[in-house]
Amino acid sequence: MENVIQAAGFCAVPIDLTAYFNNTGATTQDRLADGRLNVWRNSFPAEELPDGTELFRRTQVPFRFPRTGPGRLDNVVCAGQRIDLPPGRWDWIYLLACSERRAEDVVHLHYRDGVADQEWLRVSDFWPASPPHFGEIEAITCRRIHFPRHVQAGVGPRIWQQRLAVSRQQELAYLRLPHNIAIHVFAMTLAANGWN
Amino acid sequence: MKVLLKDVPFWFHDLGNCLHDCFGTLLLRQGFDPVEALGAGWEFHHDPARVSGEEYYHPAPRPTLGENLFPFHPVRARWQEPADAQEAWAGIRASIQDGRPVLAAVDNFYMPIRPAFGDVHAAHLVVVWGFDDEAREVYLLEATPPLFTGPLALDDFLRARGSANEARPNTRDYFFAGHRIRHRWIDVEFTGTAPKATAAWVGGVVAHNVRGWLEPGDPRRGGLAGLRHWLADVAGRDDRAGALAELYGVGWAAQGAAALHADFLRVTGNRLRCDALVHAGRQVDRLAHQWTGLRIFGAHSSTTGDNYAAELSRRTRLLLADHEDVLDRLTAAIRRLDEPPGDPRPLTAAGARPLGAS
Repeated sequence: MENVIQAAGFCAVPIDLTAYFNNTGATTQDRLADGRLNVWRNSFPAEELPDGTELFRRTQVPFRFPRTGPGRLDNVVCAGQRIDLPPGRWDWIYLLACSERRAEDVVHLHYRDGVADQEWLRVSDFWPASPPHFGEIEAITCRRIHFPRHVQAGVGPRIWQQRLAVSRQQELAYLRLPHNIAIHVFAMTLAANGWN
Repeated sequence: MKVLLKDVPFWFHDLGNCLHDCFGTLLLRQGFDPVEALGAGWEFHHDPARVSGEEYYHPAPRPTLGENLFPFHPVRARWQEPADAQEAWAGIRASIQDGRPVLAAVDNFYMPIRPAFGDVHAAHLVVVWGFDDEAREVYLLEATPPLFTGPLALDDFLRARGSANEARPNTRDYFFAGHRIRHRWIDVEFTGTAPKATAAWVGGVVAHNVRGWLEPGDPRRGGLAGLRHWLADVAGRDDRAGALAELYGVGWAAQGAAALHADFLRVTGNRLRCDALVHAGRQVDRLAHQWTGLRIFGAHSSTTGDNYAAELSRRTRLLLADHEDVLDRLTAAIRRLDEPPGDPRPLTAAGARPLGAS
């Protein structure tokens, strides 16, 4: 009997979060003061982030990374938003996210039959030297960070690839983010491993 | 004269502050495990008269910083309050000549190695590990990115040490400006070797901590009752912005202590094969993460004026309830250890337990 069984059938659906964006996490050098990644108004350097017109992959999981630039909102600060999802049975919800200090908080997964489950969203600090405390993958690493009045070399903020388990083998309808303004979500992708 | 001490490593904890990071360097250098030493003691204390808006603020139920940070380890640490820059520099030089790096308070506004240089005033702490009289340089280690270890012009250092750390609107840090630096520094001395983290020692540490939370000497200032009292005060104070800023600063000390204690429980619990301790540690880690929510909501409220009162109230209730759960778990975990709890306090040079350190 085989001990390892491999099967194809991985399916990933990047979610368009544009309508939910409420924060500017990336700035250009001529608009440094627009950043709102933390209370000190730091921000990612837009030119070091992925091209928002193409799918971004750090691993096999594709993401629709936001378009960044002057005047743009580019991430979701968690404030209890409802994110509607395409119909389907999913195994994982992958995220590109970072936190102003590491954080964990509850996401509610709502299924088609009306049941809502709590799952933990866990995100590490974007500040360099902070480890991926929750076992995330370092998806994006910058070489410098923007302060409101200057560009700081040697301080490379990060965006993490994290995931939430979808434990019920039933159709998911939507999720509701926690009300936790420390957590910033840049992209989301639903994934099914093909076992459904 | 030129004196450069050897083996001064970086150490950083993502939820700690500069006080933790600087001590981590000194502990590593001395062969101590920073997580065991900084994470063993876990308590809460709040004296409104002694709160300061400085990143290195640490609550002080006992007379010296060393007794507060290292109740179970042989580390002496005392804040030095010199009369002037000359006295301060003489003291720092003497310590380094004695082979002991020191921790020195600075205003980042005058530190060319910091992002805040020439931008915002902010009280901070660095490790001093050498000096060169002829070159007029001081050798520093900075563990908060951007990392730095090396020489800095003595004149810059002295400016940062003597700064008024002004709180002017456009050049102040939101939370850590407004308190004069006053050339303060911390004199640190290791008086023994690190205790062995046996089951009896770990059990004694945890039992001591739990007693401190449940039976504080002053329930208005210490333990779970003191935490409840302080959080109620923050919620009800008329000086809303000031109270919320205090939540950020005082909360940092509390968050760092919780996060380090969580690490302590995870490491020692795994080493002693005590899953109950590891599980309790995970719950303490969650407390540390709850501090993120409280601090960040408080910080944004204090700087933007956004009203998050309801969210802060909800999070406060959760934090306090989860503390009670953690203390129950820790009490149960002690019983799962192989040995009964011992007295974890460090011995004095004469081989006795220190008086009044319980």
